[in-house]
Amino acid sequence: MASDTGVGSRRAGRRRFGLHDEPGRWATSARFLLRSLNLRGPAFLLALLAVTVGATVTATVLNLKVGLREKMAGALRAYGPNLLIVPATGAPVTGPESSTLDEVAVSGLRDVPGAAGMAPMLLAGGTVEGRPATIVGVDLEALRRLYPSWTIRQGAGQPACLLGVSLARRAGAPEGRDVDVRAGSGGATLSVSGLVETGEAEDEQAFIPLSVLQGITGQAGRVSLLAVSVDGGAEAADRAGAAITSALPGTRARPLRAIALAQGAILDRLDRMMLLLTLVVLVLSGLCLITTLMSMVVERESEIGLARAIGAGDGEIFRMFLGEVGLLALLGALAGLAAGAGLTRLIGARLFGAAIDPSPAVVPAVLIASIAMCLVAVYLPLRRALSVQPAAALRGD
Amino acid sequence: MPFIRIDSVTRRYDREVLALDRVSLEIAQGEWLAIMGPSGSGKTTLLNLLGGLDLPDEGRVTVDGVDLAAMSRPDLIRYRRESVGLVFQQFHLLPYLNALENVMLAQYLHSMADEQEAAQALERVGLGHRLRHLPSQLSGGERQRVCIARALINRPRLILADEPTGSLDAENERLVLDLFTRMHEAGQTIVMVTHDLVVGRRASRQIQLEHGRVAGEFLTHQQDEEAIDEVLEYLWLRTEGDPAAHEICAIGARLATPQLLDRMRARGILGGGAVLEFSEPGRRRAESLIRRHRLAETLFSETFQMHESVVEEEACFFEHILSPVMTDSICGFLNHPPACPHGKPIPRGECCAAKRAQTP
Repeated sequence: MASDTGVGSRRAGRRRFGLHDEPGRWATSARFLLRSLNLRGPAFLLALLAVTVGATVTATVLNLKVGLREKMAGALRAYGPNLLIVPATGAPVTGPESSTLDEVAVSGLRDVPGAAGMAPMLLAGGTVEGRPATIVGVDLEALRRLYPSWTIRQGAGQPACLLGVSLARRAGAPEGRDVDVRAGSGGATLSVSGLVETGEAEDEQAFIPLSVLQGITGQAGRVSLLAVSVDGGAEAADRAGAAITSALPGTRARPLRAIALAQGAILDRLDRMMLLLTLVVLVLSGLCLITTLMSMVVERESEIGLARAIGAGDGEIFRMFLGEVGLLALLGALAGLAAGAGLTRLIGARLFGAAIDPSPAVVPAVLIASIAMCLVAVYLPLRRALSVQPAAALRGD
Repeated sequence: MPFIRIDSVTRRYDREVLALDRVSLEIAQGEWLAIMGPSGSGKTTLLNLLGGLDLPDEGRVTVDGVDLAAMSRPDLIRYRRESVGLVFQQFHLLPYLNALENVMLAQYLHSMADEQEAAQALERVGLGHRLRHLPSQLSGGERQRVCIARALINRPRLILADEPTGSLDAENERLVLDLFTRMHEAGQTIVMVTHDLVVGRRASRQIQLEHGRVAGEFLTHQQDEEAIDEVLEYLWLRTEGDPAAHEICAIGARLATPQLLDRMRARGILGGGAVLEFSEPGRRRAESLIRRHRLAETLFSETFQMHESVVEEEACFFEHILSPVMTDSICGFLNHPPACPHGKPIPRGECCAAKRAQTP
């Protein structure tokens, strides 16, 4: 008879295996989970939508953050260097070797963190067409990289120079004309290949090739300073300065705070605004998710009561819900990453006029944000599920 | 020591509603106990206490020597998982799992799911062809059989059934009760809540709950005589060729289970063949019963002018308690009527023969 009714075919009290001991349990759990989704499709899709919206905004904001930081750094770089490396003894002035730097050592610098451009410069007092001026000897190609917004044309034949607009006006030297530049005991005739107008000290300066100035001042192989453009704001400039001074003993770093701080402040504000936006969207998505999950729990109270009645402990109920929200988090994050990539490109093109590519670096962050949102959202519904009394739930109370 | 001891158990809801009032009871291993009583009498509450789904406010429920109220929460969950099989009136199958998976769920919670074993359990309850059907694709009887397979799959020491036939038609009720009978014969301890006398009679013992207290306790064999009378009455109507015998004597029709019919054959009330027919003593007993019933009907209807709605009920009661002397007296009082108010013949008694003999 035992075999007729099933009594006797199974040993009671068999040891319960831990999940890690028995992969078959995972397969059965997954089977039950997928079956339950068949019934709860609409509610699950609503919950998935909430997670996807949160993940999309997170992915978009993070992609924009990474992309815009690069774009913004490039834009701020146009304002010129934000770090000067000068001799440790004093200000960068013309003078003996102790107050200048070795050009070979400076030019040999490599692997400076965050450096987008570097230009060694020699400064000298002198005249242009007899008018007093500060003469800056610099490699004009390096100057082009240091000041991307400047247009520097190199004339054919004669070595070229750039004049500040005020100086050019005083010297009566328009663009294209040859001018006499004198410094120290020597001088040279250079073609004015362009004018510089910044509203700052550059308007009174003449930029001539470094080798020319070194030649006429008798300071071959010496420079007054190294101008560096560093991406990433004040902290990045400090880091780059520390790296250079440790590589070049006898030098000290002078960050140009106005530019470095402005760059950092803008990026920080942008970061904060995006973080706030992301948090607001995540909170709203989380609230929607909580509501949906709570309604799913209420709907399933008799199911939970039955599971309790036939032997489900807190662990089984916990795993049941964790499986569902885990799936929600994973699917939502993947959908959000895909939608976020598209949205990033769209926003980049429409609002910033630049193509911003999604970054693989945001994938773990979006996954973590989705999982965290789901875990926080499931807390209250799970508490309710764990408090279901089997007898009451089966009665339908 | 009894398998289950319920010792002066009281359970209140919301501190006011007294569901159980100092109930004491013992249940032996292998016993089939029917808990009977009207709605609200505390039947399901008692079942919930036995299943560890609820705890008493006072008193103790001891299963196999262990006080359920003294168990830790994990131990109580383990008790439900390993020692108890539950069968519900409303089945409580998960709608998104098919029959096989509903059984596998109980296996999964117990230890590990075994699809083959679950399929065999369903085959044993006659559902081998319905393994992949969802509950919504099964009839009520089939759902209840899935529920029974689920209850049995982990080989529990105790089966608790709450109105297991309450939602079933007569045919499915018979199938389900036959399954319970087989479980009982295999030595399974069963506690079944029902308000149906016929279902209760299938158990080996019945207790009657009223207002949360045990109002009575009966062994089924004490009630067999009454059940046999009901079956005899049903069979008599069939021999009269009444096509409505099933409706007129519904209780008798339901009580005519193979088990009771076997007992009637063993006692010589029915013939021993496969065809249902009275033995001579059985025929005489049935004839006497019908005579008492129809005479009572005639008396209540024609002499007492009682309303038709209560005549049948009263006749059913009096048919069991009228003595032969009283029956003959009524027959004489009514001048030995040949038929009852419904036109059915009243079997003749000895008094009728004497009357005919006196008539010139």
